[in-house]
Amino acid sequence: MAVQTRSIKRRLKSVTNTRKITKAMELVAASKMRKAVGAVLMSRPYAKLAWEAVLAIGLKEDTTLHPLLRQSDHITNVLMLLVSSDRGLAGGYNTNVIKTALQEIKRCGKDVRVDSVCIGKRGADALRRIGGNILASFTEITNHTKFDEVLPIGSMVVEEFSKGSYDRVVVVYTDFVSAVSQRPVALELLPLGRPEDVEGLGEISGSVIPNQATSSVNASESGGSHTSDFTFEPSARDVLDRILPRLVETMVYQAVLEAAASEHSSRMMAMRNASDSASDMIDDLTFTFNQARQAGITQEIAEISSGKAALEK
Amino acid sequence: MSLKLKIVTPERIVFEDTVDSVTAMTQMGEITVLPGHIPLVANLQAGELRVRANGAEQFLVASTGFLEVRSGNEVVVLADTAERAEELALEQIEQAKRRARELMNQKRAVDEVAFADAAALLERELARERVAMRRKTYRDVGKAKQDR
Repeated sequence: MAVQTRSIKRRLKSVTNTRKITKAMELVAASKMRKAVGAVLMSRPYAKLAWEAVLAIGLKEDTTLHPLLRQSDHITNVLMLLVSSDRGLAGGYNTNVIKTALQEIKRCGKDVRVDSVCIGKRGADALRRIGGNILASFTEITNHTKFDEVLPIGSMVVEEFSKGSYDRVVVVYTDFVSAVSQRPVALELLPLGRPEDVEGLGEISGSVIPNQATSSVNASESGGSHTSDFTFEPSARDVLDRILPRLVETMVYQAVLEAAASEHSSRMMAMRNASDSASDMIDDLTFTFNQARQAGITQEIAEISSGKAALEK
Repeated sequence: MSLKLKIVTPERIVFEDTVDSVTAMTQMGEITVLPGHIPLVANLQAGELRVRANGAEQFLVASTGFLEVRSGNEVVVLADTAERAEELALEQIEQAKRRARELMNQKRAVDEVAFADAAALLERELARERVAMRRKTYRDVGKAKQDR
């Protein structure tokens, strides 16, 4: 009997320790999530205003000739940007985003070459396992992301696309909807939709900026009425040459921020579930332990009293 | 009449208020936007942003970006980085400037693009220093007045 209680006790101790760890991780993830969500909300206005400026230019100038807006009929090379996390223990976060990435690769078809740029270790590992072609892999970037840190990735994408090495650039990341709901998405980054195309805008900012999708569409509609007589310095072309790459870089930055917010909230939920399960398990084990202890005591009493009875005979 | 000014960077909204005028450094030179300005989109250069509201001037510093004037007296500054003068610390700028200069010297003969980047960085730091210095002198003058 004593052996059984001892083993239950050992188990109880280990579960209690696990709960302490998961609880701590939950709190850490919660505070990181708050920061990440704040960063996402701060960066949304820039993306929205930049889009409006591009729209204004689009009304004035024929923008279809710009290399970043070039639609290719025949797609042979695709660049995929995969944003995942560096660490695990975040529930289904990495699994889901990697699944979306693999679907995207499959959707491209057999004769299309897909190269990847990975942000986060997990995504890179997964793609390496299936033998994907990885151009570059960035780690340690999803924590406290600064615009300067993401800038090189965006510039690289813009440069490769303008050179014509790729006909399409897709970014696969997890969209932060709320603390309990994150949605992995594959978003077409380049070529950019025609800026004068309101639907294209709704689509892009709709997935990058889910909460503001309707407002930005409205803004672009009202923007149409008063943007026709814009003056440009030095010229519309020069402004466009600068604003479009910047827009793409901002979108990459936004994707990384969304992914970071999703990662932390997903980890927080996973850790909360783990803590809850640990609590249930502790209750269960305590109950079993008490039963076993009581059974031991009862048995000892029975043994003593029967021993006494045998002596008295 | 006043202007609705918004200064945003990808990281945050730096400034949002109604003001009387905005002075910014564009690629074509320094411009001042007053209420009633025609719609305009201009490329910004690293430099000082002066904002005047109710007779008082505020100083900000922005690096490259865009200035957009919309009809309805709305001005939007989209800058890569922007700070209020109060947020600038001279010692940090000094360090950053030194780093940028070193980087520039290293890359001078090696990599043209990296050299241009470093030069842009240096330019930004110089602009920040200018604003921080001016702000400092103003503060000192204010203090001297108080002392008297």
